[in-house]
Amino acid sequence: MELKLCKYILVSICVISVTALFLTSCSREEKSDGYIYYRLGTNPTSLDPALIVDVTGGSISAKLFNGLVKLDNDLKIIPDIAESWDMDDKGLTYIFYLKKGARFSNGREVTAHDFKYSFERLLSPGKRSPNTWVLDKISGAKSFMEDKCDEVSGLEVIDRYTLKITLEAPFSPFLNLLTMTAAYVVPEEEVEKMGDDFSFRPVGTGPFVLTAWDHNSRLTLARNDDYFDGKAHVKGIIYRIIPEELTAVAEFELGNLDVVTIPSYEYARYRNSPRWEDYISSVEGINTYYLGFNCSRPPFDNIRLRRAVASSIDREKILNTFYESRGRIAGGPVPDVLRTWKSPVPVEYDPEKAAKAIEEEGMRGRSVRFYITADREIVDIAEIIQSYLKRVGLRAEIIQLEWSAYKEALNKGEADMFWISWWADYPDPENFLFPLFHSRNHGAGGNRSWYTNHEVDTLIEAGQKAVSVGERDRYYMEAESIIVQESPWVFFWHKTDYTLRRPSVKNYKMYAIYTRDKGVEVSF
Amino acid sequence: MGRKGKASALIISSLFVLSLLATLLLPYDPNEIDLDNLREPPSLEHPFGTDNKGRDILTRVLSGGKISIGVSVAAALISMGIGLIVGLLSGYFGGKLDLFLMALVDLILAFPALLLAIGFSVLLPPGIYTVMIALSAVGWASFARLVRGSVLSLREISFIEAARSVGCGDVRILLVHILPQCVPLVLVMMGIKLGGYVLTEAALGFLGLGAQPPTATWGSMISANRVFISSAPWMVLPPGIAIAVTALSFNLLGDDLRTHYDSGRN
Amino acid sequence: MKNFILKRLQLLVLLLFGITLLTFALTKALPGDPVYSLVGERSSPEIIEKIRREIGTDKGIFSQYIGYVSLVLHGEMGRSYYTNRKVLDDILIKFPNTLKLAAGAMLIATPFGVFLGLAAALKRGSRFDRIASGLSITALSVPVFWSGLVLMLFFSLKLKILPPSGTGGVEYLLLPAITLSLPAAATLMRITRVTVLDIVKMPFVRTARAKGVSVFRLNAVHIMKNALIPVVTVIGLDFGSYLNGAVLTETIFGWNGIGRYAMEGILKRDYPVIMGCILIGTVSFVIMNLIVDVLYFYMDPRVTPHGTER
Repeated sequence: MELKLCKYILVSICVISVTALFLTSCSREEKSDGYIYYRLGTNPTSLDPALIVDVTGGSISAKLFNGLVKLDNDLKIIPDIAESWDMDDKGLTYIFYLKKGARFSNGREVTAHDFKYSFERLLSPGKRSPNTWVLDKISGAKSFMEDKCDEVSGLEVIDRYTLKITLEAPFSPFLNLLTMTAAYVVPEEEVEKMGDDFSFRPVGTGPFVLTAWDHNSRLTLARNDDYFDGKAHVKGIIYRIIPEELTAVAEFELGNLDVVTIPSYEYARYRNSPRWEDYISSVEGINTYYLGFNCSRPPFDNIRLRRAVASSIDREKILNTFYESRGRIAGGPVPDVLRTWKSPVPVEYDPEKAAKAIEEEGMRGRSVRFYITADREIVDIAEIIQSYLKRVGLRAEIIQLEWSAYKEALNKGEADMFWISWWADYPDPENFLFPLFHSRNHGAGGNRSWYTNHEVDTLIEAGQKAVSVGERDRYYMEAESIIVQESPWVFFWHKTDYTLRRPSVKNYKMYAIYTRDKGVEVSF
Repeated sequence: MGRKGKASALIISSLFVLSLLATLLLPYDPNEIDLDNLREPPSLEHPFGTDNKGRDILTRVLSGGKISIGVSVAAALISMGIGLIVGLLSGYFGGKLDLFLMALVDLILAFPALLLAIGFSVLLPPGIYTVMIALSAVGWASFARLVRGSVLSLREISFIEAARSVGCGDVRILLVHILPQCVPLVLVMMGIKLGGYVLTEAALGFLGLGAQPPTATWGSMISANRVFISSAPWMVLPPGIAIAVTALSFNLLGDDLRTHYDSGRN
Repeated sequence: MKNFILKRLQLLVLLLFGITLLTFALTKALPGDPVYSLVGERSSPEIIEKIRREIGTDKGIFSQYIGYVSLVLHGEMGRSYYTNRKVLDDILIKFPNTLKLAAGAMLIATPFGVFLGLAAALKRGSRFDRIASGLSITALSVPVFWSGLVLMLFFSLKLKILPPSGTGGVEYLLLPAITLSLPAAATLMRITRVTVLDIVKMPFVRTARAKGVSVFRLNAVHIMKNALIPVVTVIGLDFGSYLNGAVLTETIFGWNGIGRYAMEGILKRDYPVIMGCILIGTVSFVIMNLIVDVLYFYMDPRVTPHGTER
């Protein structure tokens, strides 16, 4: 018995150790030569252009797909698959002439029909796309979405290489909308074959093809040698998914990443390091960070109180100390890089005046609910804001929620105050006015401060319909100055982003809009 | 109590008292932002340095102790209370009730504790009371199991039989005769478990599910400042050491209690 | 024996029903609607309603539960709301990683814990015993998210010899496995020490000693054989709980395992993911316990399968 027992234990120990050794001894993976290594903070949710709502997914899909038009370095619209296009004087119809020889990675040539298919797929009632707003300005799109007709009447295939798009009404940023990921072209045969799996087995026309997606760990993109628009210099891209910034930086220093976004807390160290300072890139992001008020109910339906809060916070000081000047003070909702007109008159920092106004409005010592997401840097900023408000006699009770719960709360208007940012989908001032301040977009539509001003509504609509840029800017300037005057937000800053690259990386550039970066320029 | 136990109890109680008095003893408000003194390394003015919003680390570590210790002890007491009630009922009345309650206990013990606590913490509005509830919701089961076991062994003992035969009601027997017998046992159990409560409380804080900002707790301080571990370790090391010292003291206290309990019974 | 295993598996099915029902009820009570993770920054109430219908969160809890159970009975776990990927596929990727981490941690913890415990017991009261006991209780008191950070600071950021995070081969495994093994080794050490102390007092040890059995044989065979049961129990329990995911360790070291998956699922209200993780976690926990019980049977012939109901 004893012998048997010993043998049994011995055997089981052997089995366990061999299994464990086998499990743990997967060989160390060397960095693949010619591939550039980037870091992602989160797993992209989907790479299906119809479903993408996050920047992570968007920036990858930009390398896998193409649209009719795209943006250049100066954020001007240039040809992508469309070689050229015509627009009528009223801004109602657009005719796109496609390039010949643009192919999907399965070898088939892209035709005008593919665009019609892709756009209708996005709009179709069966596809649960959250991005229908990108294309619903096309004539007939609304009734198609409601399943009242079989095709979108505004999408006409003239011939194999010509597509005509008719709009319901003139819409000045329409071409800008077409640069978005939602307007990318997808191959019908692959989509139909893969169904829901198309989200993570995408097939497109882009300079890269997705070869592997190790969920939550890495994505591998290989160069598409047949890319119609000049093939990429690197053999491929590997995105490593590393949630912690701290470890991303350490991986970079170990040489396991080629480019890394510099986290706020490491910024000073790299900026002052003679070894690294030449390898820092930056871009003035098209975004606005703001403290929003719920303007639809007390206490912040009161303009004076909103302005008092705005003047109680020293935004410049926060930007220059805590934020280490990694941004530009916001003069209003429209980012400086998009504003071609004079910045509106700002609300100045004046804590005494603010305290007096708060006292007079009967809010001294009262508390307001301040909603934030549970992101580390946002918590920091919220605590700073809270401390400023305390000095003028207002108590902000911070409520930290996870992203989906946070958004639900905002969409329902539960918050008195909230911290959030808005990043451009396309570089047009309209993107910072219509979704955020038009009364039609209350809640989920983007106007989370439930701001309502019919004069502003009218001005924004007029801007959307304006055909000339000068006329458009006049409307937008007026709308913006009213908005700043009424302070539905405290406008904080437009963030500037910084990345650090290894010295071996050449021709690396950051872009203000993620769709601009097709990954073809960078090389070793 | 032995020397170890006394020393541990002294450490914990002095930490707790210091944490209550933190704002009186130190010139700083734990939540006061000072944008002119960000990330100061330890100095005479700030013995543990400041964090990335210029708050004094020492003040925050001390005032965090109030919550970390308070919440853990409160949660352990609540667990003990629920465990006592459930264990008494289950052990004394037996039958279907026992089966049902013990199935519930097994269910909870089979569930990964931290995940269950996380579940409870997202279920309720965030804050220290939620943490207490989450910790107790997970913790009561082992107390109930223990109490039931000891009730089972007591139920058939002769003096209880005797009490029953002279007409004592169930409530009276439970409260007067059985409960006092269980109390030392659960107190020992609580001593043993408290260290674990401190760690779980810290873990929830670390995951952002505990007290809301700007309130300092040890777990949330580590979580918020962990990115500075290499550039400003003074922000991360003190709260970690505080957790370790507290949990260690509770563990030693628990050990000591158990040793005495065991030797007392022998 | 076979009957015993069958009975336990039946119990497992019942437990699964209970746990899924409980989890289902809990997740439905969570604030936060998964639909808001799906719709992006610009959407309308109509689209939100449409997506809600699509993923089925507009129906009653009970009919959703029935739907889920029938899905599981067909060998499916549904798709993540968020990534549209099959939950089962993801679990099949993540579970082996978690297994790897758990195995790595136990591989480190077991020899250390058992050896230290045995040595401490045999030299009871010595300085070695006091130091070892002190170390083990300290290891039990340090939160893993802190010891993990300190290990990372030292080995990755200062010495730069091990990668600070990621999932992969041995070099990635080492830090999280060490972190996780600390409390496990400490528990094992304590259990081994206490058990061995009990056994040493027993008459048969004295007899063996009197019979002139060599010290090594006495320690290795007679004492350890008898100490095996509690030690195996602890190993099994720890291993089982790691299979449910070492949430904190996996989070800090970016280890792509079940714990992180479950945590993200909870935070994002990704119900199919939460349910999948709970299912797999319960199954592995129960099976681990079953293995421990079966091992008892082989280790100690006095234990009959029927006698092991705890």
